[in-house]
Amino acid sequence: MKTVWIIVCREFRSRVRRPSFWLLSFVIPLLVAGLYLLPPLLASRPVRQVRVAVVDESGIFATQLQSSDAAAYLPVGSVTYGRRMVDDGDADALLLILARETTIPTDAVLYYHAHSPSAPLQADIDHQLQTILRNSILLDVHGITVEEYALMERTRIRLRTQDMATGREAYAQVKSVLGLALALLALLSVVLFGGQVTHGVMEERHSRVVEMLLSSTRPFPLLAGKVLGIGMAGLLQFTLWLALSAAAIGGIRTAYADMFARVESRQLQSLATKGSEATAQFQAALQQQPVSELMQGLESIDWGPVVLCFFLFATAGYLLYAGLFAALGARLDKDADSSAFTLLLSAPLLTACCCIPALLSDPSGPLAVVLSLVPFTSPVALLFRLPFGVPVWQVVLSLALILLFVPLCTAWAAAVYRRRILKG
Amino acid sequence: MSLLSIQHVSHCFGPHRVLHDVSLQLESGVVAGLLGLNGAGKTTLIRIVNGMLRPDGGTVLWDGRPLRDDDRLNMGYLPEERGLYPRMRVDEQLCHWGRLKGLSAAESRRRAARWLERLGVPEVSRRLPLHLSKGTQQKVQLAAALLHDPGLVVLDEPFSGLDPLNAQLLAAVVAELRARGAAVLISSHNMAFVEKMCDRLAVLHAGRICFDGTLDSLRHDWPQASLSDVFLHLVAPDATQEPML
Repeated sequence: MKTVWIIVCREFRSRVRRPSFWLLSFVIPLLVAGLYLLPPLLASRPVRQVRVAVVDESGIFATQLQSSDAAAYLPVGSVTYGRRMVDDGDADALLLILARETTIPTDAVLYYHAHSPSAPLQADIDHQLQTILRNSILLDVHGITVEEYALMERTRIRLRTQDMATGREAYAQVKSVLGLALALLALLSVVLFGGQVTHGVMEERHSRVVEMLLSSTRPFPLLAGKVLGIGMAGLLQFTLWLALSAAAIGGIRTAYADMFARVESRQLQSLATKGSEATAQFQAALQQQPVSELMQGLESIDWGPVVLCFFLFATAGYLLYAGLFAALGARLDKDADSSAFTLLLSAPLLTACCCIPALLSDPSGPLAVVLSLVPFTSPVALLFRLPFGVPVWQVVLSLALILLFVPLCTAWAAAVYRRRILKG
Repeated sequence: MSLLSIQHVSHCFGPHRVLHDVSLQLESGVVAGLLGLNGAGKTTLIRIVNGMLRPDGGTVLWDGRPLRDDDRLNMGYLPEERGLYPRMRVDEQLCHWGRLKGLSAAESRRRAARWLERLGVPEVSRRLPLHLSKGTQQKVQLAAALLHDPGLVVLDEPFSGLDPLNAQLLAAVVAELRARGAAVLISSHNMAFVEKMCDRLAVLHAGRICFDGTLDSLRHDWPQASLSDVFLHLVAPDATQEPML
């Protein structure tokens, strides 16, 4: 044990002391924060208002089209005048709504001169035309007003799923997202830090340090120390990534509170232009779904066991695969091959990821149970099922099976390691 | 009683038999040379002595009993292909090797400083092996092998990469080891130093011991011949031009 600890300390220290460790520990959260900040930053830029000349042959739409910060709709009398406005630069595009044989227009053309209209502008025009047309039909044919329609839209039956024993709601969508996040984090930790084990073993082989090491200790404690040391450094880096990312996002939310409020208000305003019933829907959605449902869903989860199981399964998964990754490092001669073989070795975990849609449709079915008990797939499969509730015996058995395979895999890897390494 | 006793050891790599019924004894305070052509099985035998390989047949005894894992704490090894962590400071590296051999961190540091001083390179203590010359790296590696005052020191090609001055220094260190009662096993092609430093010789040829005895007995049997000639006569009789006697 003492030898293992000495090797753990060396591996941990050698990684934590590298400038690249700290560089990545800080750069990744900064990148996450940047990706979080970028969309609202771009959205908060002052936008140029696009001017659209509208020729409405039906006479239904032109006066009802609502202008916004992004687009101004200018009704004009004729196509010729509209074209001239575009040619002279007084308008950026010409919208021609055609009315032919029927009273209901079915065709519209957006003409442009120099710059193709943006997708959001096209979507806005399309949405407004559909809404105006629908409201017109509702009123003229069925005698239903916009307000009555909005009321109908708001009146919905919300289906809830509730556990008979505990009375808790299921919140399947929230749990799916959480399960997916847990499974992907476990996969990431295994592949990322397992790859470091492969690289570490190859490095020791190439520098011939391993012969000195094997003259002092047996391959098993050597490998165990290496796997644990790299795992501890990985755990530290993972924790730093999560903590610093959360802190950076929190800091950004505070520092740019005005900007976030402005962007959200602009989004609301943009929705408002799409009709009063859309705003009502949006506000209703804000009040009920998905934000409140997300919060309620998150609150309904037993975080203690989830966090504990995540830690246990991610660590056990890493330990299981790290031995195999070490054997890979002992067998490979070229560093360039390591990425492809790392992917190949992770195939069982990737297979479990591919089965997630099937697990989602039946989280307690036979496939889910089998994948949760096979040690090479369980770190992903069981963690995905965890928020849905997994019987305790399955969790315990699954963990026990992984832990049973860890020493077997490490011993096998140690044998490969010794054979290959002494061959050079 | 011999400190190290290799008894009828055989070893194969797949279908290829590398060692055939090899037996050797090594006593404390004796410097033994292990000679052989490339591929004779010297490194394999050394790895068996170090416990890195298990023999397919025969036994290795330490102090009269089968070799155990913890006996390796009492062995120092300088491998043929040198290996130091390139980006770990020399003092930290020596401390690490010392701790693996059972010393405390403080004791390892103290002894590391002493050995670097003895080998004439105290200034490299805080440097990375990556930035050291080949000869200096070898000295650091030698310090790592001797740090824990082992009872048995195995040196595989210790002279390769050393200039004559440093080879002289190494010879002096080996003499000190003998004086303090350590058994030293040297595998080398440098006949002059082997002749100068070793008390006894074992010649390995195609996995078999073809000579095992003291240097005095060798000189008695071939009084006129150099060690180099005797060695060639033993391992490649067709290559020697002149009669040995």
